[in-house]
Order: sequence, then structure tokens, then C-alpha cells
Amino acid sequence: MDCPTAMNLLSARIDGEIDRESLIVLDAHVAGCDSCRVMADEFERQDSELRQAFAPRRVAAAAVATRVVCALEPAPLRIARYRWWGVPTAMAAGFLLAVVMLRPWKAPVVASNPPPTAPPVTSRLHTASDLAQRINGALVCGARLEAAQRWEEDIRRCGGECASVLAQHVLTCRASDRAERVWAARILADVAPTSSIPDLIALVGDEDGDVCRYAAEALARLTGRPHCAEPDEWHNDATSSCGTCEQTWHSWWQENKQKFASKS
Amino acid sequence: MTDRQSDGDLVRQALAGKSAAYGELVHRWAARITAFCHARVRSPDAAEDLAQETLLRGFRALASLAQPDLFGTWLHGIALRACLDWLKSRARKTVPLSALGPDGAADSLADETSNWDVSRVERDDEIHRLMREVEELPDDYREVLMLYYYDDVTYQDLAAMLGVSAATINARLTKARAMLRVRLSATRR
Repeated sequence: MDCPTAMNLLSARIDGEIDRESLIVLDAHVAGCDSCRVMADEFERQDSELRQAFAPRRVAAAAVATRVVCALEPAPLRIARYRWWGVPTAMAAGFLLAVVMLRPWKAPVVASNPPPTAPPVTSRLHTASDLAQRINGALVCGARLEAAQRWEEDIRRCGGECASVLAQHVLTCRASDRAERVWAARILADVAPTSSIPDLIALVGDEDGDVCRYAAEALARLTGRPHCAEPDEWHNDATSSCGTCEQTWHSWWQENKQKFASKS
Repeated sequence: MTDRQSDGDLVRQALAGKSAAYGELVHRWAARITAFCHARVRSPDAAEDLAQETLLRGFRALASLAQPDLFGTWLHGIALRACLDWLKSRARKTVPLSALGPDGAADSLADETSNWDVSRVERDDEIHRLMREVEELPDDYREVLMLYYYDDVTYQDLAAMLGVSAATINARLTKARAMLRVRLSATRR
């Protein structure tokens, strides 16, 4: 076997595309060829680096699929809202109808029925799972932040069920969607339940100092453990604070997760 | 044997009104289409947008697909047109970010990074440099390398997708790796 052929087989071996016979011949060649042995080591190291480099790209591609699938489904229902002219117009129409039907100029009016009332101008209440689904749709489908912000109060009320959706959003969406990520992390700081602890630990290592800080606040609230950095430090020294805190929390979680698993 | 449905079956189900079948196709092809777009436009962010646009365009135009079993090839055609349009509009409008040299970026960040976790920054820097070298490989090698590392695909899958033999895929991947090795050792020196 010559070295160029061996190089093709080394590549095939890394990719799991080599047959048994070729593998035996390759091993025999590499054992006696220094340059191919060096090449084999370098190819393997490079393969590991490439896998590491492409890991975020794979996550991003999966998020593309999620966004497309979400867009295939019917658009999320909008919260019922009345236009400014809707109520006065309805009242005027009701008044005219009443005038035509009751004809006050013909006979004295005897009130027999209570006057019609306008429907309440409030958003309808969501169930927790319905709301979680809507938030998921709004964020994953690329709708704008203000669409999701309209539901902030409801999200805070529903708490845990929405927290996992928010955490997944912060974990998977792009750094360029910073406003959405920080908004979701801020709510998580207040409402995340203990089942979100693994997600929160992952977020403590985030590259965005604000996301780290909110995740750390949530962890401190849920576990009673002190913060591992002061609020200003997250901004001034985000990368090292986040990295150190993530390691600290990760070790702590390995020792304590049993305790939390039994609670939930 | 697996009971995995063929692309053709899923296309027929989607055409019959079952949008979940198209969802399955999306999950099956998203990584490869994103990789293809990344290889063409050399910008990961633009590739995501273009892949999303391709998959949605595919859904809207599904009825025009004459041979459902060739869904992948057809989708690549849509992706290719989307990428060419993007490259044309880009050429008219702006200077690509990749045209900015690494030195300028390093200068502007020098002060901000003085307190960062050095090992983490170095690791990220290595990864960025590796990705930049991948993006600079000649077309055929860049394409096959990106398709391979974006998705868990076999040589046979890649061969069918690119219309070449499995041996050619092996040869291109080997050449791409060898070129990367030379380029990276030159920049690390």
C-alpha cells in the first residue's frame, strides 16, 4: 500500500467507512510508516476539533428545523383586543337599534329587560399549557419580542410550565436575539422551578453577562446558596464570572441532584 | 431493516394535507440544507436564514415537484437559487464581514478582553480560526466537509446527494482534511 492510498483509508477509518480487510492492511502500513502514523494522529485530532467547531452549527440547524415546522402550523391565536373605535361604534349601533325597535315617540317606555352591556375588555385567561405553547410559538417562530411581552403577566402567573419553554429558548436561540434572551432570563430569575436547575446551570455559563446574572439569581432563590458574583461583576467580567460559576454550580449539582430529584 | 419512510412517501402524505409529514422532511433535511447554504455563502447566520427560506419555499411549491423521490435534489435546487440571489444582492450592497481581517478585530477588542478567561478565549479563537479555514477551502472540498460535519450522513448519502461516487466523497474529505492540516499548521506557526 502506498501513502496516498493509506491517507484515504485513514480518513475513511475516522468516518467509520472502512471495511475489515482494508483496516488490516492499513494498520500494517501505519505500523511501519512514520509519516502515516503522524498523519493518523493529526487527522484524529482535527476530526475532534471539527466536531467541536460544528457543534453550535448543528444546534443552529436543528433550530432552523424547529422554526420552519412551527411556521407550518396555524398561526397562534391573538389575544382578543378591541380597536379604539369598536366600543363607541357598537354602542351607537345598539342605541339606533333600540330606537327603531322600541319607537319611544309612539308609546311610553316600560323597562322590562336590563340594558345590554358591552363585553368585558379583558384578555381571556390562558391555561398554563396553552400559554406555554403560545410562548413557544411566539419565540421560536421568530415573532418579535413585543408579541411575547404582552403575555409577561400571564407567564409569571403560570410559572413552572412556561419556565421550561423560556429556558429552552434562551439555551437554543442565537446571541443576536439578545433582547429576547435577556427578557426570558429575567422572568426565569423570578419563576423558574427546581426542575429547571440543570438548564439554569447551563445558562450560568452563558456568554451574555445579563443572562448569567439572571440564571444565578434563579439558582440562589431555588437553593438558598449565595451568589458567586456581585451583579456588577457579571457585566465587567462576564466571561470569567460565568465560566467559574458554571463550574461551581455544576459540581454542586452533581452532589445534590438526588435531593432535588426526590422533591420533584 | 428500519421502518423509516422514504422522502417520496412523506412528500405524498404532505401533498394529501398532512403537514406533519413535511415536518418530518424538514427535520431530515434541515442540517444538510443549512450546510449547503453555509458552504455556498460562507456565512453561518445567512445560511440559517437561507435554509429556513428554502424549506418554507419547498413547502409552498411542493405541488410542483414532479418526482417525489427526488425531494432532496429538488430542495437543493431551491437552496442554490436562494443562495445565488443572496450572493447577488450582497455583492451589490455590502462588504462581506469575512473581508475584515483578523488583526483589526483583535485590536478593537484588545482592551475589553484583558480580563477574560484566557483558556476559554484561546479555545474559542482556535475554533473560529478552524471554521474560517474551512470556509476558505475550494468549493468541492468545503461543500463535502460541511455536509459531513453538519449532519450524521454516510458517504453513500453524500454521494447520492452530490451525484458522485462514495469513493469521490472519501477522496474529497481526505483532500479537505489534508489541506486544512497544512493551512492550520501555517497559521499556528
